[in-house]
Amino acid sequence: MTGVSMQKKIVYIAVMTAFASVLFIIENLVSLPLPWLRLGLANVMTLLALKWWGLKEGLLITLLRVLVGGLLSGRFLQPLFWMALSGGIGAALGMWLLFQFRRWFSLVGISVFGAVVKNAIQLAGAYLLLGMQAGVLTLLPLILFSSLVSGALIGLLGGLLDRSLRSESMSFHP
Amino acid sequence: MRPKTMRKAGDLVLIGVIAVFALCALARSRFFAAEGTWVSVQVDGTVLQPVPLSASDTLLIAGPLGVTRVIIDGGSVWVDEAPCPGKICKAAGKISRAGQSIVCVPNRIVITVTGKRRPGIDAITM
Repeated sequence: MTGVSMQKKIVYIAVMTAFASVLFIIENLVSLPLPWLRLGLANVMTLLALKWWGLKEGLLITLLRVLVGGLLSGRFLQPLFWMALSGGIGAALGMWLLFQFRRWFSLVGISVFGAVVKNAIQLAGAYLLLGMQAGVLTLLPLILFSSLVSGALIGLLGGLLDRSLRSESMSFHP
Repeated sequence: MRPKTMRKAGDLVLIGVIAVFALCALARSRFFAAEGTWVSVQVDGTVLQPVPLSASDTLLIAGPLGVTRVIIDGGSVWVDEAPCPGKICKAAGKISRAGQSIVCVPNRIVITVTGKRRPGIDAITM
């Protein structure tokens, strides 16, 4: 990789991390009427990083976003920080896995899978955190439904962003 | 410009499998579960004395963030006031069937409705 394209990539990753952190924080500020229906908008940046580059960049943006978000929301190293961290890493790995089967899955399917993995990990985290009460696991169906909705929305948003950034008028695309 | 997303067979299979699984799990917990009998509350890993669901009662449960007020009335139980930031426990609404639960992760509280069998200690022998 030449020096210029390396610099370009660093800038892209920095900008995407900033976007992801802001989305993460805004979403945490909004208290939703329905439980377990957070969109996980920040994941759209991980999705695009995985599509444009690969696992390394996707994980990097996820880790930086969780770190910045944790510090700014005052939850650094607290339970919710660990849940965001493990969920974020799980989603990135899950989405990367489906990117290996790109022939069969579009961004929507990939993003849905990422949301399911993230929410399943966070549910397992809550289960462990709360002393392994079986009651926690009854939330699984609700969480799966909300993952379908949020994952599909984020996949569509990712596709939209990817296409518009790739278009002639915008030369942002790496 | 035709959107390229949502064009692949794997998407539909994946979404279908997850939806069917979630529906089955939901049906099992919602419609086939028996009416609850006991309310079991657990704070930060400690199980409190179970309360009968038929009672009219207000429980003040002290968690790490403060006091969560839980109301039992008319055969169901719900969180009335919570100190946590997200208020997901409050939004969870009323529960009444065996196996249902309300979970508050920030305040480390799990409220579970159980069936006929009294939760916790089965018997004490001496």
